[in-house]
Formats: sequence, structure tokens, C-alpha cells
Amino acid sequence: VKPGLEHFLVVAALLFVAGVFCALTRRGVSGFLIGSTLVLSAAGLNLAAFDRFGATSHGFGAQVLALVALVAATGQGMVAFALGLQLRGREAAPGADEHGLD
Amino acid sequence: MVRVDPASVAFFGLAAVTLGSASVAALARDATRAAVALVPTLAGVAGLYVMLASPLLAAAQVVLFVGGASLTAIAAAALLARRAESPPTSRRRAALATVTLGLALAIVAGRTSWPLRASAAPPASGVFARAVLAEHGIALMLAGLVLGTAVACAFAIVCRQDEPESP
Repeated sequence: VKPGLEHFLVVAALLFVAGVFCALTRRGVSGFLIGSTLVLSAAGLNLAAFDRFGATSHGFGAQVLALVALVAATGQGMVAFALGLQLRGREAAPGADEHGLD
Repeated sequence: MVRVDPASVAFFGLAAVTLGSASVAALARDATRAAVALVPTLAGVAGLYVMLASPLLAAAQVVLFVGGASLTAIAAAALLARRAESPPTSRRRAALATVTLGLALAIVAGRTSWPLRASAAPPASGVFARAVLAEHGIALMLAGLVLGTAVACAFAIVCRQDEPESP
């Protein structure tokens, strides 16, 4: 069986499902980070697959969009990590409330 | 004699690595273990990008995700890990919802007759590089700007000192 568009789409769908499950079942920053990374990887895989096999694709626009999404995901991961560290520091302070960190 | 297509072997191998480690990342109870399992997942996706004739995406995936974001996720999981998961009831509900969603997506992806390109040959890398630099240079610059801003914001958040409250 030669891998075609449908094969890549099924792999991306399963990757997306794993990401959604991870984001739903883990509480806090790290679960959201891991889940969103998986979901965005699935989106990038879909874009690259349609760019490679799709009849309407031209000019590599989908690949560039996937690259921008990848960069945005990295940026949001860094900011989420920084926010988590900041909240953790506040939580560690005496008398601080619970913030729901993971 | 059965002829084995190397592309098929590579695809199914990469898909197995990607989905296997993704399921470990999704199901692991320990957040740090889940973050470590993310590394082979993202490396497998980079391999799938190579199979899709997207060398730029594969390189960016390795540099940004496998090298940067996954290390951030591991550090976040190790530093912030405390309450790793939801109660079992909500976990079962989430499993049911995501399995249903996955089945629906896989059926739609597999059964839809997508309009396919007539020529299946991948474009030459020189064509790709010229097209990206000529037509999408602004998008690449914006992506770099977004990443730089995110790094600056992350530093600003981490270095921010709370002012003491006035009595």
C-alpha cells in the first residue's frame, strides 16, 4: 500500500484525538502545553499533506501556514511556561491561594 | 515474491512511532513522563514531513518543537507537576468523547473522495525555496517577529517582581 492523502489524514486525526484527550484529562499548564502541542502537530501534518497531494494547492502556502502555526505554538508554549513559573512562585509565597497548577 | 515498498515501510514505521508515543503522552499519569514521550512524537511528525516533501517544515519541527518546545514542556512538567490528572469519572467521559471524535474524523478522512493532484511527483527543493522566499517572505518575517516577541514576553513575565502591597 503506497501512503496517500488518506493515510496521512488518519494519522493526523489520531494525533489530534490524543492531544484533545491529554488537554481534557490533565489539569493545569503542563497538560494544556502537551495537548496543544499534539493538536498543532496534527494541524501541521494535515496542511502539509494537502499541500503535497491536494488538487487545489499551489505556491506552498499551506506549508508556510503550517510553519507559522508551529512558530506560534512554540511562542505560546514559552509564554505559558513563564506564566506557570510566575504563578508557582506566587503560590509558594506564604498565605497564597491555590492557583490550580499542574 | 512479495515486493515491499520502502516508502510504505517508512510511513508505517513513522506512524507507529508517532502514534505510540503520542498515546503514551496522552495516557501517562506522570506529567514528566508524558512530556518526555512528546519528543519521539514530534520527531516522528518531522519524519512524516520529510515523506511529504516538506524539508523546511521538517527542519523547523526539529529545531523548534523537538529541540525547544519539548524541552520547555519537560521543564514545565518537572517544575509544575503536582496534581497530574482529573478524577476517573471525568477521565472516562473524556476517553469516550475523544474516541468518538477520533472515529468520526478517521471515517471522514478515509471515506471522502478528496480532489487529488494529477502529478504525484514532489516539487524540486530549489523551486520550493525560491517560491517561499519570493512569495511568502513577509509571512516568514512575521513568524520570526512573533517568536521574538514571545521570547521577550516570557523573559519579562519570569523576571517580573511583584511590588509589595501597601498597608
